[in-house]
Amino acid sequence: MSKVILKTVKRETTISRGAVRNAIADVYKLRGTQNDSAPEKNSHIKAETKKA
Amino acid sequence: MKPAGYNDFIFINCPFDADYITLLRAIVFTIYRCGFVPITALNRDNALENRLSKIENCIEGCRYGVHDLSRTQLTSNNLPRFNMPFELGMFFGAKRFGDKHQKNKNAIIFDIESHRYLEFISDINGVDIKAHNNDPFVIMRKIRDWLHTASRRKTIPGYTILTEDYNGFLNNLPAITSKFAVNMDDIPFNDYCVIVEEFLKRAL
Repeated sequence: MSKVILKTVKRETTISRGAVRNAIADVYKLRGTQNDSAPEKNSHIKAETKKA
Repeated sequence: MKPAGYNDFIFINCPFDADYITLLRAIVFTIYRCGFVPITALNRDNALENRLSKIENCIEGCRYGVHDLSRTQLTSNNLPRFNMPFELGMFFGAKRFGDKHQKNKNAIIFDIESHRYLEFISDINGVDIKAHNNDPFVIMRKIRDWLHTASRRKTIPGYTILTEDYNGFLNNLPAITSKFAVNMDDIPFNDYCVIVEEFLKRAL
């Protein structure tokens, strides 16, 4: 399958994006990077961000 | 890097209450996973901008719309909620009377059952209304299939990949939200969006 490009916009949140990123990294670390319940690395997703 | 723009934005016109949260989360995940960006009036919190003005701006900026009329029902005041049909009407109006970009608008409309809308909004008789039966996986499949057809993008994942990824996300969500001492049911909409974005980015 060809790649999906993930796009985002800036949102007004109560938690920072960095904190979310760290929390997700911690969860991955806790469960191991081979976590089979999360999307695989190098799958079909690419990220792009736009300021709203 | 190509920025997100009009053709990527999907206006979500649905309830934002606790009873709808399961469907709303499935909708948001599907939109991101298919490569689009969900937009609602909740994106911006500016007291100087009234609610209708926010909705107008959202509709104007989005090529696509996901509308759910399933909450057009009597409340405890014995009156129905008209917000969703009203915003659907604005979306129709933008497509009919707007400039060439607005005329490209495309939408999917849901209700609990496919013909119930005729009881309260018969003016749109003949429009294809999809039934979701309050099932998040039904709504995911229908939005995925609609986006695939409407956008003609070859990059939209198949239903099996989409649901596998969503189940993986749901398995991890409690652990992620626990880091913020927030109950999973209390995550604000924008926070949820950022969690989905970062979770999908983590898959890079």
